[in-house]
Amino acid sequence: MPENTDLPGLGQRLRQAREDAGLSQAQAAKLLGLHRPAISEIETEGRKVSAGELKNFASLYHVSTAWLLGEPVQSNEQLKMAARNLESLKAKDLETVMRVIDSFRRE
Amino acid sequence: MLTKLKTEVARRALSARQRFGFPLDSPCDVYELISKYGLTLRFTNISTLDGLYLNDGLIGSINISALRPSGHQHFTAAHELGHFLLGHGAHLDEKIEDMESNSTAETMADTFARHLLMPKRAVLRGFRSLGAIPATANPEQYYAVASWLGVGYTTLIQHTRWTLGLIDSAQLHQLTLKTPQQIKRRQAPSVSWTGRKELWPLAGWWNGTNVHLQVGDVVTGLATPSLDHFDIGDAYAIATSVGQISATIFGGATVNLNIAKADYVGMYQYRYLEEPLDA
Repeated sequence: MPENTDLPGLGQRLRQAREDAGLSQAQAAKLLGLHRPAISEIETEGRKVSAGELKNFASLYHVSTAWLLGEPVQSNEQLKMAARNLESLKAKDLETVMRVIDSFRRE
Repeated sequence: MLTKLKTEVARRALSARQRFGFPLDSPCDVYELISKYGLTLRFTNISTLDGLYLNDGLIGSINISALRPSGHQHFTAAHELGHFLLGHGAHLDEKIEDMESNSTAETMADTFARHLLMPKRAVLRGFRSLGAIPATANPEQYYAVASWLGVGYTTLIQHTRWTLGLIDSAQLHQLTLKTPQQIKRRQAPSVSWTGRKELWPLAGWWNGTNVHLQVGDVVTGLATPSLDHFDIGDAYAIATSVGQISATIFGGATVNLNIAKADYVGMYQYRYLEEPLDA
């Protein structure tokens, strides 16, 4: 993992993971001991994220760091296939299901 | 063969309760039970699935739709816990609790959920607390016992008929003529019953129960003139903000009220987290 991450899409994935975890920016900041503006800056990619912070975000939001970093992740392909084959699943829901499967935290 | 398997699954459900100290004659807080098993529990913004169970060896994650009524969510959570404890693989659950499930794994997860949430002793104790028995109880009494157990009205009626065999088909038919919506309207006529708002008829026999509600839900039976997170009126109280509080009800009993945002999306452990004051 790089010492300071400056990856395209990282801010957006951090925002998505926070929202999926059910936390507001203020709540996430408080739980991580950060100032609230820091969360907003990180999510709009106006500030870099250290490797340590990234680990803390992954743990707080319960997602894998690989998924946050946009790295290829090992996920349950069989389940993803089953989801794609479900005719009743709305397109928006399919996207959410894929995210739930891909971001699954194994550690 | 299937009957034998179902008996074994029922036994597993009862021992899961006992392992973590949920007595067989009381409600089982399935969200707490899932946490005690070390599984992640999430409420997900998916309207076309009831639930999703992911696993990877020892680590499991249960996702349930945020867009279902409270009793339905509890049942889905119990069903997904069943998949975990019965050693089933990762799963997408489209429609849980059809009386005729399409596979053995689904049937077994449903059987697990029914026995976990509604053991016979708990069902009978609920009715007894109301001075009733299942065979002669009225729809309001079924509604109260279902709320106490954290399941839907129809789910309890079906279980009492088909699993426990305590009522006959004629009575099942009579009870299903009433809808939960009609019961809520009758008990709190001035509330506008829209969305997934629930009515919680708290009473002395609920002592010690953990109630999972959401903002907008209606509560009757509170003995206090004012309570944080609630707007208290003459006949009932309405949950107005997120948080956790212990409340005294008529008869001196206490219940733990856990209030979530309406249709909360997120992890169970953050569900009742209040917004920081300095936000």
